[in-house]
Amino acid sequence: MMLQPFEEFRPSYIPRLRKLGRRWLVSQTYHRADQPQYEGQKPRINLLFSDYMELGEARLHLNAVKKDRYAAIVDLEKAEHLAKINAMMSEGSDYHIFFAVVRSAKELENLINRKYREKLKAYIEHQTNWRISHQTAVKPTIQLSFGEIFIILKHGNQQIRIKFEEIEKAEERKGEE
Amino acid sequence: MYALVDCNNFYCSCEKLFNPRLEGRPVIVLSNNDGCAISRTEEAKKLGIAMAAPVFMMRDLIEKHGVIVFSSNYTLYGDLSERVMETLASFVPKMEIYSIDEAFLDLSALGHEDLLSLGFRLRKTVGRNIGIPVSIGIAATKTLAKMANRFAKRFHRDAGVFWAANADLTAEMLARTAISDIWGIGNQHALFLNRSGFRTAADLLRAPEDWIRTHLSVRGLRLLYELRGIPAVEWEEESLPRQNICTSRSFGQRISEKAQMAEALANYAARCAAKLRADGSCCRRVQVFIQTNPHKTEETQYRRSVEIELERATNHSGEIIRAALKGLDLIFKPGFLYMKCGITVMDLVPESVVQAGCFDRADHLRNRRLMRAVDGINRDMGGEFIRAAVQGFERKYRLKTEFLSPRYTTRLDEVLKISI
Repeated sequence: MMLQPFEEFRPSYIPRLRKLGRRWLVSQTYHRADQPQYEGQKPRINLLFSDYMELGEARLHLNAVKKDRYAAIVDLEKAEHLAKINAMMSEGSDYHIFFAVVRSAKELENLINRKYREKLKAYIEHQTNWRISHQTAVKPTIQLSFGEIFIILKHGNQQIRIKFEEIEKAEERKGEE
Repeated sequence: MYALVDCNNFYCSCEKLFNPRLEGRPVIVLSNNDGCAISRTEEAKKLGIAMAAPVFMMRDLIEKHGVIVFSSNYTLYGDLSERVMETLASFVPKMEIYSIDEAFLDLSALGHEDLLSLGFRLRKTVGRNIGIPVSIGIAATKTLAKMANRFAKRFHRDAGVFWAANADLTAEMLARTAISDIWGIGNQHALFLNRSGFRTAADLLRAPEDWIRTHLSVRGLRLLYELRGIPAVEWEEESLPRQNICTSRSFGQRISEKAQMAEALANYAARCAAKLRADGSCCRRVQVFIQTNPHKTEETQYRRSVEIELERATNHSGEIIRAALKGLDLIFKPGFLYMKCGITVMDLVPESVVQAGCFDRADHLRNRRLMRAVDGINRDMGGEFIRAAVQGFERKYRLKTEFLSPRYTTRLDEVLKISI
């Protein structure tokens, strides 16, 4: 099971985003919220929204996820776009929408540090040439880019930036062994 | 993560800043002596004006399309560059100024920052505060950031920002970057790599390390790591100490008289001495060269240089000028039309570790105080307010600057005037 750190997107966010001038949303498929499918259950599509003040930023995000079939730019100032996302958020909809914000980055970092400490250590040991004593803990910093979570690990002057998914998958591989 | 911020068509943008009528028109800025085009607006590029194209070869094009031409105004460009760099420095803890219009920013300390938004904020702030348009490339290494910057200019011109944020975006950028456009690949290496079947940066990334080391040396290997996203190019927050300082210029008109040549050389020597003092160093040797115009093949050519060893390392203007003129006495030959002369001060040592000479009787402490006073007055009063008599005032050899714009930001008498 993947870590799902993002908030659910609620209708009450829309007027607040418009007030803040963050009118552009980029939607993309969001696999972190995928649930196991049971027979007879209607599958729901999980989407992630990222908000932007500038259309240029939104366009660059869209370019980064252009292969995604749900990639789109939503303009919160357009009535038809608003109607569409309201319909997507309504009861019985086929969609479940998440918002690319976390309640507290610090808390998330602490959670990752706690839950994935051994995996992070294993990654550093196998994938880098850093020489770190057993007592030293390398604390991760999280970074979000185009709807994807990255982990930044620092040691002295060196730094690596990896997809969080790689750390999570390493755990799965260990389980398979 | 690193960002490379590059001012778009910098010299032209500086000229356009104070002259809005230039907007949308083809503009070029010429090199020293109004020789070649060294900066072009997009409109000028579309007309086919190539970088470094000599101006005498495109006179018809300039007239036909009304291309607006400027002589280079380095005082203005230097001042605006400083303002851009100051603005950029306020965003990040570490910055490396790479050239007059480019700077690398180290974004590694900005873990939680949304780098895309940061890029847009940087671009907006520089545009609003200084008025110079910039492009920004963000990536895992300096080489990739440089590539991302070029990529932003070519494929995301409206946004002006490109962030190679994940493997897919980096792969796309590498696949669309030609070998010759990679930072660190010169013409000869590009030719060799093309002959060896490499077309894009993505091709180079697939090359075996051994092959790269054999054919492109350890620098090539470093480049390969950079392309893989592993930082291998040193961060240079402070520039390395200089090994030598050279001041040379082509003359605005060719000269044959020794007195004029001595005047030019004395000025260049004084400039070198001032630079030495600003760096806190002294030189042990002075090299002087003079030359005729090598492009005038129908004329007899003459080019000589000579090195003068100083008794004691110095940064005193008078001593360096004296050495330069002694050199000129040795190599000057009458009967030629000279095009260029120059001076290089070499074997630099820190001012604090200068070895005293056995027979040296000069009062160096007094000389140093004198030079400090001269530098102070020149700084306050501008230009070379105090100078050696041999430096003269006439300066007939002065660079050709037929199309020079005012120094809007540094001279009170040249400030932009607006009629209301």
